[in-house]
Amino acid sequence: MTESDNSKRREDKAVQALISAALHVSDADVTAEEIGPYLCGDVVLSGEDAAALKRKGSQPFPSDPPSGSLTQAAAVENEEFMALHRKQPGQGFSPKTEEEIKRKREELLAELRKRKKGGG
Amino acid sequence: MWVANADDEELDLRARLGLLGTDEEREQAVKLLLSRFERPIMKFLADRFADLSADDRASAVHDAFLTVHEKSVNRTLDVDLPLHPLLFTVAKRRAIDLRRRASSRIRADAELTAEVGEYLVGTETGRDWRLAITLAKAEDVMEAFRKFIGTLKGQQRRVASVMADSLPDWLTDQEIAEDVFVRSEMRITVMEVKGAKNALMAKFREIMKRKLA
Repeated sequence: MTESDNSKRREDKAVQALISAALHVSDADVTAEEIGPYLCGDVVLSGEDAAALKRKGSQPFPSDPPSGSLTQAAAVENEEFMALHRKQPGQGFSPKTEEEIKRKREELLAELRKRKKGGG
Repeated sequence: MWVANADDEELDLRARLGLLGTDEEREQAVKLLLSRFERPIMKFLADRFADLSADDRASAVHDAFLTVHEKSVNRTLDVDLPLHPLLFTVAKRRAIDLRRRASSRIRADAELTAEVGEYLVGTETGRDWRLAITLAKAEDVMEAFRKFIGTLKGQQRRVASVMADSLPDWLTDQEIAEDVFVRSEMRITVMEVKGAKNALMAKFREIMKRKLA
C-alpha cells in the first residue's frame, strides 16, 4: 500500500470516527442542561413525528382491552394494559409502606399548598 | 443552568401526588405528564435518533410514560425527585434499545468517546475539526449531519445506525452488514456497506467544509 493510500485510509477513518461521535448517544441520565431547551417555548415537531405520536394516541392506556384473538403486538399491548391496571398485591402493601406513602402524599400536598399561598 | 418554571414545578408536584393515589389518580397523573412532556421528549429523541423511524421514537416516548406508571404501581418510583428527567432518560434509553435491537456488538460508552480522538491525530480531518471547535462550529456540524441522517431512507440510514455504536476498527464491513441484518432483518452486501459509508463520509466532509467556509 502506498503512502498516499495509507493517508487516505487514515483520513477516512478520522471522518468515520467523527460520524460515530455525531450519532452516538450515551445511556447516561439526561441532565437538566440537555432538557432545558426542550421545555422553553413551543416545540415544533416534523409532520412525520407529529403523525407518529397521533398514531400512538393521546393517552398511553388503551381505553378498552382488545377482545378475541390477539396478534403478537396486540397481546403485548394488552399485557401493558393489564399491568397498568394491576391492583396492589393481594395482601396489600405492608403497613410500613402504606405509612410511607401517606407521609409522602402529605409532604407533596403541603408543598402544593405552600406554592399556592406564595402565589405559585 | 436551566431551572424549571413555576408552572412545570407545580405540574410535576401534582403528578407525583397523583402517582401515589388510586388507580384513577395515577392514570390522570400520567395523562397530565403526557400532555406537557410528550412533544418535548419526541423532539429530544428526533434530534438524537434521526436514524430511527418516527414510529420507533413515538414508541420510546410512550414507553417512558408507561414505565413511570408501572413504577408508581409497584411503589418503586422516587417521588422526592422531579419526574421529567426520569421521563427523558427512560425515553432515551428505550430509543437506544430500539436502535440496537438484538445487536451483541456493543461496547461501553466510555470506550467510544475515549478513542475518537485517536483517529484524528495527525490527520487533515483532525486539524479541520480542531478549527471547527475553535470557531464554535463543531456542534453545528454534528447537528447538520444528524439532520441529514433523518432525511435518508434504507441502507445508508441502517449503516449509520451501526456506525453510531462503533468506531472504524471495531467492525469490518462484513460485520457491519451482519449487524444491519440483526438490527433490521434487512440483508445488505459488503459492497453496499462500503457504498453507504462512502456516501456518509462525503456528506460529512461537505457539511464540515461548508460550516468552515
